[in-house]
Amino acid sequence: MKNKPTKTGYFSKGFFSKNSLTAFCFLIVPLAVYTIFVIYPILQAVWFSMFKWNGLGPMNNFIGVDNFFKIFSDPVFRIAIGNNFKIVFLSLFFQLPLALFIALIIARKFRGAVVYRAIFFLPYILSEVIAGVLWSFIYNPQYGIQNTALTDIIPFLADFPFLSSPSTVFYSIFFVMIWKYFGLHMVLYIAGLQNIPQEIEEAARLDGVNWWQMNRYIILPLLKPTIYLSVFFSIVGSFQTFDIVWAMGKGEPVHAAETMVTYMYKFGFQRFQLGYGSAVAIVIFIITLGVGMFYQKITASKDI
Amino acid sequence: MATVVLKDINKIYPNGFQAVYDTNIEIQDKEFVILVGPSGCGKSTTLRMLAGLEEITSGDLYIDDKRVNDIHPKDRDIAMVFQNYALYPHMTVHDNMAFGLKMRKTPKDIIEKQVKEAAQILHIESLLDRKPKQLSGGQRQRVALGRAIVRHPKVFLFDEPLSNLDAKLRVTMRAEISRLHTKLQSTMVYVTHDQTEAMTMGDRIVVMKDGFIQQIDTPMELYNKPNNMFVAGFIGTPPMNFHPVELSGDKLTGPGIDLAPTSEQLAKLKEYGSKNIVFGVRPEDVEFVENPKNWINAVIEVVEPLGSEIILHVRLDSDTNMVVKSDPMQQFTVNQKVKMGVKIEKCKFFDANDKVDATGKSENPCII
Repeated sequence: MKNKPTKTGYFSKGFFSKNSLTAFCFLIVPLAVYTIFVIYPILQAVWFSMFKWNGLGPMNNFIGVDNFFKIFSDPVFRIAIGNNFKIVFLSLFFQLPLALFIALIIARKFRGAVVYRAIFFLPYILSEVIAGVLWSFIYNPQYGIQNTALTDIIPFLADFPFLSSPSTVFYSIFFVMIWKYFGLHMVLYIAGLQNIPQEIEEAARLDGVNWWQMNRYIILPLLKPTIYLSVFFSIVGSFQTFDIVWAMGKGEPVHAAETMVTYMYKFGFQRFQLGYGSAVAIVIFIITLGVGMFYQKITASKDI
Repeated sequence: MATVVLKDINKIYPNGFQAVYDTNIEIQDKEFVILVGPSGCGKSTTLRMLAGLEEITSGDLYIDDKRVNDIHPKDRDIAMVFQNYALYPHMTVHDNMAFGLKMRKTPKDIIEKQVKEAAQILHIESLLDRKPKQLSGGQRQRVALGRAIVRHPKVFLFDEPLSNLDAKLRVTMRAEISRLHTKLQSTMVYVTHDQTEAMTMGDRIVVMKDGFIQQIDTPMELYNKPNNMFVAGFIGTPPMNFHPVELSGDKLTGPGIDLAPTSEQLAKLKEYGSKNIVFGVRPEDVEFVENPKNWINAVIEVVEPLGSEIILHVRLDSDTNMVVKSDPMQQFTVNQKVKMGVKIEKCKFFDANDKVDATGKSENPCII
């Protein structure tokens, strides 16, 4: 028998379907909040970026996209963007593998495992500024613990001004970033590892794998969703690096540790070039969004 | 193929809990042995110790006369099928089956040959390119079996492999595993809590409770000659009915029960000496006939017609309940008063008191 079209059939699909309308009703409030606090400021920043404006007085100096040309012709911004990509690269190749390695060891049940987890996670709950100040003291060439310790181990590095030398400031700060954030990734990996059924590991043991093969063929493939998430957090976080760098020397000396956000902050809130600062913010937003979306696209297509 | 011997095996966990007590089992080559018992009886722990997944606290485990206590699971030449299949979700069926061989550095052409052979045996050739998530429960269990047989291990271990399947598929897979055993002629140890699986599949059954072995015997011996009340109650569906009785003169009397045991039974009961006895009758050892020699009066409470038989839940005069089976041709109604004939020669009698042995194990031993 042929199915007769129902009266409600027309509205059963698309925007006017009952489900969509119900969903829309529930979303009105969050959408309004999102629009006011996220969409509107972004659009406002886009608008500001087209002016030469110090944040005070009327905006009457419309310059179109000149700010954007200026950003990309500024060698300091090129250093900053380079540093951000360096942070992404180093995080992916040093920070995350370290977090994964430690997670693989302490995810197992053994006496004191929880204590180790807490110790490694502790730096993450510390405020970025406090961590920055703390490590500035540690790195201090006169009375820092780092230098005192190095006096005995590597004497020629004793009294070395880690944060004042352009050749070492970036890596010294990056070391602090590893110390600060690897705990978060470690916890993510531990959560992922604990989701892997014990029986699968046992089956693999009976199949004859050693520690390396277990991780290579079983654990890492099953941990892929967590690794993808951790990499995503790392990429997005790297592009937004600010607090630690600021607390440990404001990206100086000679912009050696400059990042895109410190660059934006300097122009927006120190030099009061709000139009230019907004343009930098837009560029950071587009880069982060672009890289984030590209990453989501390539990882979403993977069959996990 | 291999023999497996468990000698005085004990398992005590770090928190002090003892899961297995002085376990002694000798499994012959090509034998299909079932470990059965309720949850927490130590059957899975015993199997996992056999696999090497659980450390043995004390005792010796031999596979083919070689002590394997300290040998790594991969070097014991065993394969295990898990309750939740434990297939590698990121690998295809083919790769799941080939993985163990690959890890053992088997040449590629031999891997292909053996995977193909195993797939043919289990009728999963068409599934080789699929991933586990694309398979049904039954298909996954076949793949898990395939992963085990592809390596031609000395011993197969099964840890409740059919528990996650629906009732119908369980029956099919039960037969499939039995056929596999006949075909492969290998030593198999199978853990289940389902006594039907145990009875239908095993050459011998090890009944366990609270970490102790209660009895090791063939299915029919377990059914006919249970060692104690636990075994008698565990084996058989519906389970055996138990009623406390007393031996007074030549009669066994209890609330609503007045039975005349056979002369042989009477002699043994008198010889045993205990007055407090538990009388056990299987549901199938009750009959509805004219003028039975021994009978119990009862009222029918529930009638469950199964086609091939009828299961009746009845209430005795003493207000205790019994489950009995009847011929499907007979007619019963709820609240009907019946006189149930008891095949006294088939009944079992147990000591009503727990006998605690040297190890602390308590049981109600079977008198006759």
